[in-house]
Amino acid sequence: MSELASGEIVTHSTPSMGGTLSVFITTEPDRAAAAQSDARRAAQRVETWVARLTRFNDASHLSCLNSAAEAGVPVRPTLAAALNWAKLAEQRSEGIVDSTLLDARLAAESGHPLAPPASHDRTWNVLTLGRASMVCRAPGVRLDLDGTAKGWIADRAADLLARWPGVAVDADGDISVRADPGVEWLIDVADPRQCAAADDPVPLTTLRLRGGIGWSASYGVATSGTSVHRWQLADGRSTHHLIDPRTGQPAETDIVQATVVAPTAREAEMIAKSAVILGSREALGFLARSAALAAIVLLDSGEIAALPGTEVWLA
Amino acid sequence: MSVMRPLPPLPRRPVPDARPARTGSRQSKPDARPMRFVYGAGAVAAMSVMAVSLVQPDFAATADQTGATDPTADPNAVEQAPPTTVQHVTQYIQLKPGQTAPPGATVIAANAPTPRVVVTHNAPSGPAAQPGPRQPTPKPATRQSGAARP
Repeated sequence: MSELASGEIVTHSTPSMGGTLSVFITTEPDRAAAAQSDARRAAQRVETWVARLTRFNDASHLSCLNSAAEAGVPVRPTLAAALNWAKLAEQRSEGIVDSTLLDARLAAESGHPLAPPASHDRTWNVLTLGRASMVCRAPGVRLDLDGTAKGWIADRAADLLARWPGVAVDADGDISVRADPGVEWLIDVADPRQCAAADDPVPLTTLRLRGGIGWSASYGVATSGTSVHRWQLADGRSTHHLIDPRTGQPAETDIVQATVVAPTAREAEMIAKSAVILGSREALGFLARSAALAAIVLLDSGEIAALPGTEVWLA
Repeated sequence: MSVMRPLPPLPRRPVPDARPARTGSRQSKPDARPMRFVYGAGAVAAMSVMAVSLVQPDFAATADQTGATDPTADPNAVEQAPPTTVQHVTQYIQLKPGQTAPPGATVIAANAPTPRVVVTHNAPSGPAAQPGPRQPTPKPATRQSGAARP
């Protein structure tokens, strides 16, 4: 705690990824200017990655890939690395995190969800030889990194700032944390039942992430849920953006929000999203099998459940 | 006048044998380490002592602690048992067909979620629960991404 108590936290925030990117660095007061410069440069790098990976820009590398007609398309290293993680996330989530559901999501957002897909071939893969990579996919497959890129970006940005004793990169809610011995971070978990515009919202709970005893610790914290990004269909029903790959429809789930602590932000994001899509009955078993260090789940009944051992992470 | 007499013949020189002549009894050499048997016996004895000290039971721990056999013990003294802490661990078993739960057991339906969750406190605290000096300001917050749509 000495470094944190005697030092200060440098913060740099900027609009990004449809929300806010915030970089926090703990440093001694006499190095605050250097920390501020590093935070700003890390944020600029994040913007570069976002420009390559977003589907909201037709000139992005991802959009170029999705618009290509060929089955095999060469891709640049950043997109290849992000897609490699997306493929790994698909395996580790037991198929629940699926990057090929762009069309189903767009249809759901338009208010006209697609019919449950027949056995549609959605296979794809990334082939890499040295620095050259190629994406091979079945015809018609379009990829979406909206669900996996934020955690991946947060981890990568935190790696850029590894020389500082304490770093937290908040990529619009998915947070990558580095903490040297003596450094700890308190991270609020937003309560979705409160109005987002409240001046001083009371968090659902607060997590405490400490540096190791003699080693630098890395964590990831991410939250996924169905209560923020949702809308009403033409028939009046309410729906959300998390597509269940087993049905092709917005997931029927009793989990309003899941927050996960894992070794990395990308893993935490993948696990949290999978838990929400699975629903409480399957999610508890999945969380126990996953790499989650802690998990807090808010059910639509108002109950809050947590993985055993989560209490040691609460502030 | 001296008379020259022939010298007697020289004794026949023995022909040297290539191999030394065998003798009936070999002469034993002196023992270079005359104490070796003593040293060996001492080493075995030392090993035995160490082995016994390792494996012998703790007689002090198993001895009567109440002092009943000690004639100097105060017979009116009240025995002070050390405080013990019992930790109850709830374990769940799955009943097989035909089995009944023991009296007092909580029975959970088979289709209910696995009872491996613990309920945490809700909406904790306020500022008092968070130590002030360690509080980073501003504080990162994890939340759902995206924005609500009308």
